[in-house]
Amino acid sequence: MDEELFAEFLTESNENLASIEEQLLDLEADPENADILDGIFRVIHTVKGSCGFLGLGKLEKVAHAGENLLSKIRTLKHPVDADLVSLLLEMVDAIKVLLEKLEETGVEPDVDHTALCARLQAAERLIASLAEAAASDIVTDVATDAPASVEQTDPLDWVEGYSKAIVKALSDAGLFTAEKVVEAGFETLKGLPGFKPASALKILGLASSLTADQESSSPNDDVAEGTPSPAAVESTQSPQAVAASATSLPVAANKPVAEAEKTAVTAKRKPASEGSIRVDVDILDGLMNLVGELVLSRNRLMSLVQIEGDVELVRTSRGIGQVTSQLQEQLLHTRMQPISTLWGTVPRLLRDITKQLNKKITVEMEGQETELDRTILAALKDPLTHIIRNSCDHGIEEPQARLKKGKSAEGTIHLTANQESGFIVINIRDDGNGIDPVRIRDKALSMNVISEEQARTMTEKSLLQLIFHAGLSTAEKVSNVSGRGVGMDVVRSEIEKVGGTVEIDSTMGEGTTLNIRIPLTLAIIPAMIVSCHDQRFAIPQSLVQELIAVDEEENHWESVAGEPFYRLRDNLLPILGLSKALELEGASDTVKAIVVVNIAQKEFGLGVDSVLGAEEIVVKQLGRHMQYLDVYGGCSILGDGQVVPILDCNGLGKMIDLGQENDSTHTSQEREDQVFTKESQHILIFGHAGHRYAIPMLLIERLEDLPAERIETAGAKEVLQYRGKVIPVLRWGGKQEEKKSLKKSVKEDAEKSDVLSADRVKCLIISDNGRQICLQVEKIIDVVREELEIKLPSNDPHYLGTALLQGQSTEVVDVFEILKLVDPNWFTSVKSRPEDQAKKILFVEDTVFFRNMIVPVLEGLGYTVWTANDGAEAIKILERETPDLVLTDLEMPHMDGFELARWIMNQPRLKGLPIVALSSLPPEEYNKRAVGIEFSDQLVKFDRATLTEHLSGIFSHAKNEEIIHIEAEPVTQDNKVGGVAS
Amino acid sequence: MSTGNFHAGLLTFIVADQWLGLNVNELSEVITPQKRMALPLSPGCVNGLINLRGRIITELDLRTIIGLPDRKEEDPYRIIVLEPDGNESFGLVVDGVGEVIDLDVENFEATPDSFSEAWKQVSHGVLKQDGRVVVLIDVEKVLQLSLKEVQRDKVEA
Repeated sequence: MDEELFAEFLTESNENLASIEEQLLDLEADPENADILDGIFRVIHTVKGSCGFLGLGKLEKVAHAGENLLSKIRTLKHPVDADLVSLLLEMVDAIKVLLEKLEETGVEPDVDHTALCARLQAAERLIASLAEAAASDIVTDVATDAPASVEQTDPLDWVEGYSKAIVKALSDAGLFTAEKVVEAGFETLKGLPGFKPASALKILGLASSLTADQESSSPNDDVAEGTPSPAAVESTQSPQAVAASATSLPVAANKPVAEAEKTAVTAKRKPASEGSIRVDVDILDGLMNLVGELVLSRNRLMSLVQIEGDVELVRTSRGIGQVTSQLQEQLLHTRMQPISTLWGTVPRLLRDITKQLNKKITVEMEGQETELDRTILAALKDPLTHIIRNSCDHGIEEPQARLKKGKSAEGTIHLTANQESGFIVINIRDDGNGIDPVRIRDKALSMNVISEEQARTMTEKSLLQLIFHAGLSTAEKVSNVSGRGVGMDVVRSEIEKVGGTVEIDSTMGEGTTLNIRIPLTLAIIPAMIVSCHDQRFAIPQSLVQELIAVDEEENHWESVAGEPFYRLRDNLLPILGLSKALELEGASDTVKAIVVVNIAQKEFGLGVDSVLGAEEIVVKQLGRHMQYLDVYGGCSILGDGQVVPILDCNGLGKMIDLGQENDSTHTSQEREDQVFTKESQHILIFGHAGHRYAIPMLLIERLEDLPAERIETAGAKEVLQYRGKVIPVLRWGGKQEEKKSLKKSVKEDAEKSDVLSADRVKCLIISDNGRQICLQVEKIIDVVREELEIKLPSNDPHYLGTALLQGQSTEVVDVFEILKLVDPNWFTSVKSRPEDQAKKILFVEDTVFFRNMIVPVLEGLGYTVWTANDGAEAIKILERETPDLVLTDLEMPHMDGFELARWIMNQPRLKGLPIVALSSLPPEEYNKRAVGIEFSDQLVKFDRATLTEHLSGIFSHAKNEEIIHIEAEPVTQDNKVGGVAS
Repeated sequence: MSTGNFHAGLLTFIVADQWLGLNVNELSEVITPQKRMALPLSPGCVNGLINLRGRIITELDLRTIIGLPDRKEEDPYRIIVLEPDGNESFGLVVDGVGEVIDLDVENFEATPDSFSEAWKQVSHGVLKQDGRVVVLIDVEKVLQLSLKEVQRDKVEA
């Protein structure tokens, strides 16, 4: 066999078949589109013709059977249905398999396609008999149409669609008919002017197939003999059934033949764009390697030139540098392919799966033009297939179930791709049932993937990520589509292999989203070069969030469960010391610089000695002796010729326990998002003797890490000289007895301070309207931004109650009570009364600070609190709701407290509603402005005890429908701070 | 590798006073010590990575692989760059190289049982020549042995 010819045939056929699946699916959607059908027919026709010529008997048989069927469909204008498309797809698959094997081995494989051929023929006969049934009613002689393609009036009609040059060459050579062309043979054709071997082959293939058609009087050749196929039996079924389906035929059959001819012209295969050539991928890969080397050499040259300093040399090398960069960029482009080449397989996949599962699923795509390195695309194929299968199998419900839930019967899978700073982000979203985190948790627990402790504290999101753990699959039904629990871990490892990350998110009942982030290219990447213990390492820059030079003056370090954390803008960043992680000998643990990396929405810091700079590096694989080390992603050669390892932050990240998603490791984006949720606030969590305690950050002025000796003893009290002031120090007892009396345990601890005191102590400086105290705690766990909701009010006056923070129960400290410990005369504590529970208070306050401070107090007392930013907002609430009391600030923008009070007094519905003013106005001004307003009470901000007492008083009086007027206390600077000098 | 190929020539080299031989078809060059990067956490048999004209080569130490005591820091050494069929190339660190000799198939013998265990696990025969015994090193066996250590490390990790 002519080698050249054979190669041409394979390339040509593969190219043609690549689009045929898509065309078949298009045809299914638009069954009467003659253009698409003609296109498909042409491809199969060419394949058949070519194999006939090359003596590929098996391939020819399949293609021939397919062609005959297609030809019948075409000439009889039979509407294509799903079964027919399935059959044709099967034929295409068979051809593809044959071609694949042929390419591998060079010979036709020994695969039996007799059954398939028989089915194709049966289908063909069925269509013919349907047409006959129809033809008996209609006077349209379809039969004459069928051989029309063979009996040509114009001798060269059969080469319609080929270039004029070819037609001319044929007629010049006197080869008008197909028979003559076949007679002339390949060598003659190749010799004709304007004939390339490929086109000669095509013409020859076409000609030989045409002559073959004429010779074989019956399409039912030897293949089907003897084996009656199921479809053949079907065709002899009850005539009613045949007639029933035949009713659709006349419409199609009536279409004028002229139209078919016209469309045939438009269906001509577009000639391959003249501006492009085919290049072997190996050549491109080789070029890529060479450019990689060039980049390295350039880097080396640049560093040498910098030492030399010759102007001309610098200029020249800069030129080389620029050209190299451009060359690299351009070459990268040659390797890029749009993601649609990957997604193109999805519709077919869905079609097969949905048939199998009896579900209805469509796919929607966005960003198909997004380009990716072809190696990455190839690596993503399997994970994508698996994810889609999972979505179809486990995610999207059966049509009835969907309808019951109020969803459309047809499920949708959305594929989106877009570029995000050096990364391609691919989202695969289905609108199915979602994944139940509880089921994952139970499964993981039963398989000992997580401990019970973890099961209790893990967030839903981190539970969902467990699905990537080997062996975890939650599907109840195991089908042959997916669900043997070997999938998702493979998906993750495949994606990680190309430097990507994958994350899952799911809402029960609404669907599941998989988020894949992958680098644009793997070949050349910008990297940060860091050093640690005299050794250099490269970190892919795309993962680097920021660099921190550790300030030795200030201590930002915290220790949580023995692991180091760095306090970065109110968040605790987990730190992995590189020297420790890589077991570098003799390296000290002091971290001088931190590289903050972000992986799969998680942040952590890599502690290094110094950051040397950025460099473009060519990623090279590590040898197989080191492949198992997941802390490296490869290695590279730096400008000075030295080899550096490239760190794999995914692998390093695993060294830190990132399983628990706490807020400190959230990305800045998420942090920003959270800022906007109104109810959340910054809360400091500190620990003592295994318990967790929380204080709103608003009350804390600073966190200090002080040498223990800074705390001095003055008389019986401990004090701290802090910023020119002497402030009282309170040690957090945290023992069980402290529940009874914190004050007592504070004293006890003070005595035991020798035991407790370390070299340095953690102090919270609590600022209260100009006064400060220092609260010394054992350790600071974290600062989180969460909603502070008291789940369980506390009987202990020192606590507001228990709240759930970071998924763990945490005692919320009542700072005002703590303040009283320092100065017992501060307030008189009054317990809230049970009957006051569930009273509704509208709290109007413009300052976030006070709002966040008072609301927990009120909630801690068992009141339901609505908040408004100003009078205007309060009115909006009052128009809808009727609270039991309005607690309002006086000075507010838009509408102040006085105006609000006047408005309320004028509302008949709100008659008798107690209004309590929270004020810091001087009495003269207050009295002047409060003319005509009867406030039920006027209180000083911050005075929790009085507030509690008065609120209880008001509520008990209000029951008697009696509005009391408590004389407005004159508010002065002195009693604003409690009226007690300390 | 069959013994039939040996006529092509044998590079002799020495490790711990033992003469060894390698088929020249299996190696690409012998290089002098290069600046190497020791990769943290890598298995013991891996000395480090070197830059050989833009290629990164794993440097394996034959002494470590077969369990001989380490070479002294100041002692000279040579690196034989091996290119096994279809596998990545790597550098094999040896104490020194001799010359390329013709292999006389007549003198080829199977590794004697009495031979040191260390050498037996990586050789597929010996050659008696000029009163000395040259142990023929099987590159594939060397690789397998070194990867065995990797397997061990992997389990520990």
